[in-house]
Amino acid sequence: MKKDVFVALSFLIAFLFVSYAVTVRDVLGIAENPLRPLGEFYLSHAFAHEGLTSHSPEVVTAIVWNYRGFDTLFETFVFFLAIMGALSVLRLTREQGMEVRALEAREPHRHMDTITRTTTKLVVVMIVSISASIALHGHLTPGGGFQAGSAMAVATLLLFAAFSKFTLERQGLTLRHTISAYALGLAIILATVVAPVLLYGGKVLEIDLLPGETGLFNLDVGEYTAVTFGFLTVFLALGVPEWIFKLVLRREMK
Amino acid sequence: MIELHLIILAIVVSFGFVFSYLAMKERDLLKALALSSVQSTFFALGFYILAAPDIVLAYLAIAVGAYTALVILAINKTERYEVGE
Amino acid sequence: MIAAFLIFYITITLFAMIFLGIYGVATRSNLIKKIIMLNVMGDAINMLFILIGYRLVYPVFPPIYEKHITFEEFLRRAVDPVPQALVLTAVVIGMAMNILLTTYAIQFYRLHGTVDARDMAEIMGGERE
Repeated sequence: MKKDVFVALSFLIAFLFVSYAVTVRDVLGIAENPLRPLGEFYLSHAFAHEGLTSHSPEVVTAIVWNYRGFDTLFETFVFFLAIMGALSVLRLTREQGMEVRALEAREPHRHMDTITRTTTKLVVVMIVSISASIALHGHLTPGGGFQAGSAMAVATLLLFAAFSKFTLERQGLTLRHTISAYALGLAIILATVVAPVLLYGGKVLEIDLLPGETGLFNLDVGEYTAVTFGFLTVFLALGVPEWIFKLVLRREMK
Repeated sequence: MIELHLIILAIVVSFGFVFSYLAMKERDLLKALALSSVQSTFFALGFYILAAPDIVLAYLAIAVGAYTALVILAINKTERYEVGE
Repeated sequence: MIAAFLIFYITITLFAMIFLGIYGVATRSNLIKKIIMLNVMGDAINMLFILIGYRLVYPVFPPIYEKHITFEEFLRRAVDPVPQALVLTAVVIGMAMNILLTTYAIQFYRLHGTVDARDMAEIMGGERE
């Protein structure tokens, strides 16, 4: 371990020498880094009151969902494909699913002690409200659907750790419900994307035609739902205890 | 004054390099994961210095929270120690 | 001068981290370790992207418009928003890819009882190097 630290530090000192040698000879004239024209266009148009504007003072959200909306739309589909790939690897037939549920019901009811559970409840309420504010103000302050969704994923993981997965499933948070909520998020996104075509006769994703900031707001809320429940779905599917899965899979291989 | 920010960024990135090197040399996967999440914390600080608040919000939640929990789950379900050569 | 030196030092360290990640993915045989090193590489690449959009002015503003700043001041001092918008989605998609890779590793362990790439080659009908 000590030798490794020395190796890493000597690498760093070597980098220091290389960069010193290069910059003293002044090969790179990178002081006064100018703004590239593309970045300047986005900065100057995102909150302007005429021209190609998106009515959003938050330039990153404006690029993500308005100027480069198609990129983000298809990135949502990439996310969807990754989640569905993971789920299809972990898939079970109907009989196997019922068997897993029967075995899980016999699992002892385990959770942590009262202090941990109470603290977790408080922290989860805080994280949920913070992530909701990140998502709903995504077009005004730093934040948006992706950020808020990943914050919500942390809240659900805390719940998994403090209470067991079975407690949550008994409260009604089953795989079927989370997949439905994920589909709801995707439906909000798709509805907002095609709304300008149906209502105003514009192009796909031309969300400037919608009144005010409705377009950006709806897309952020849809992405928030989709990312939250996408992560939650996979963690629910991964949370099946290992011995149950092995039992079921071994029977299938015979 | 911009030099101050860049010095902090250089220190942060150097620590990130050292910790990722240590994570590569570590045979115990849980320790390697802990070292790599220390590196992620330093990088979150670096993203804030580079004036990217959007990235900090997404990156802190993912790289320190969800990713660490996911890999702990995976280590729990597979093996804890890496087999040597 | 000193700013250019520091930027160059940071760039070299980040490139070293990228190659460290590639080296880790290539030489470590445990699949979970490969995933950890892949993430180190991704972090370094994301940081390089953001560094490209940084401005060497003081004070530097994040790309969010505020009321009490004049427009010319904002244009002179705000960082480039394009790399940030690209990296934002790359971080989340990277996490989805992690989930997919981890799921493959877990399922392989369930079916064959190993996550070692050398054993994997043998199981799949190849030769153990």
